[in-house]
Amino acid sequence: MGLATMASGPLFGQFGSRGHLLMGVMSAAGLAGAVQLYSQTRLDPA
Amino acid sequence: MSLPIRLGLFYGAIFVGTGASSPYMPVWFAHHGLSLPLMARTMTAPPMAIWADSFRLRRTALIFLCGITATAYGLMALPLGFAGWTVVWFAGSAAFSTIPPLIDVLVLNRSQRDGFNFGWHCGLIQSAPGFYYCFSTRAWKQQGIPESMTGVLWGVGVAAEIAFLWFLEPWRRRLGPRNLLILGGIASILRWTAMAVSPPLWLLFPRQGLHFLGYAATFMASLQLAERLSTPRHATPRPSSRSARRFPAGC
Repeated sequence: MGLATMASGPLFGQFGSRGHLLMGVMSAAGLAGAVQLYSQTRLDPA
Repeated sequence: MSLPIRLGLFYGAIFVGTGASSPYMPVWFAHHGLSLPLMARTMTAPPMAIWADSFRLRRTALIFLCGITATAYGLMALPLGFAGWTVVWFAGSAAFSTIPPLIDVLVLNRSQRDGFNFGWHCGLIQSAPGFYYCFSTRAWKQQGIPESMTGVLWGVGVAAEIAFLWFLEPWRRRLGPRNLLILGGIASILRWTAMAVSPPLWLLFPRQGLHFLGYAATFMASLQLAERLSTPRHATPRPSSRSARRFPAGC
């Protein structure tokens, strides 16, 4: 969160509202990682 | 109370003030012709992080920074005038900006040691709103959306979160943390991509409604994942389960 906040100033200055796209990219990276959680058997329903 | 739950509560506490001030402070400073206090944080955070690293225990630095932040934000209530408020806000926000990276490092270290290495997935989805918190209000203003609608739009996001926590608890339990996290990620991608193309006002309302999935649902999923993936030494199952169940009401 800290890094994202730090990056947001220059990003808004450079790209304006389109800077939100980077947030979309971050979310996509998080989603890709979240998919891997399906391999964790400890999370399977009992 | 288990460590992951305590860390989650710490995150919640430090972002309460940010949630309240983020929509308006950038606009207020911009109205006075200043963007310095917010932008300057990007300059102060690295040296402050180096200073914080000089402590043997990171929590010592965190205690100092939280104290400075709370004091500075408290001083904002005094009639200091714009110059005084700017100095105090700068001090408070400079100290605050160092807290999340520090606690992120602390959590990541503990997660590697204790085995709840889910952090990056939830963290990436939950960190994405950083840009939104700082600049959504200014972006909307540039887009021609009346300032009076800003609070309403932010309110829609918060109301959606409250509704989720209040009414959708059984649905959340049925879904499970992994599916909830996936939904949060998809909602975040949709939300931020739509935001990037400056949608019309009417479209902003459903987009703001997605906040409950992208933030609250992801946060709840992260708590559940922390609880399930922690080693037994740190996961005191029954108390932490009860805490997690009570947490929606707390939120």
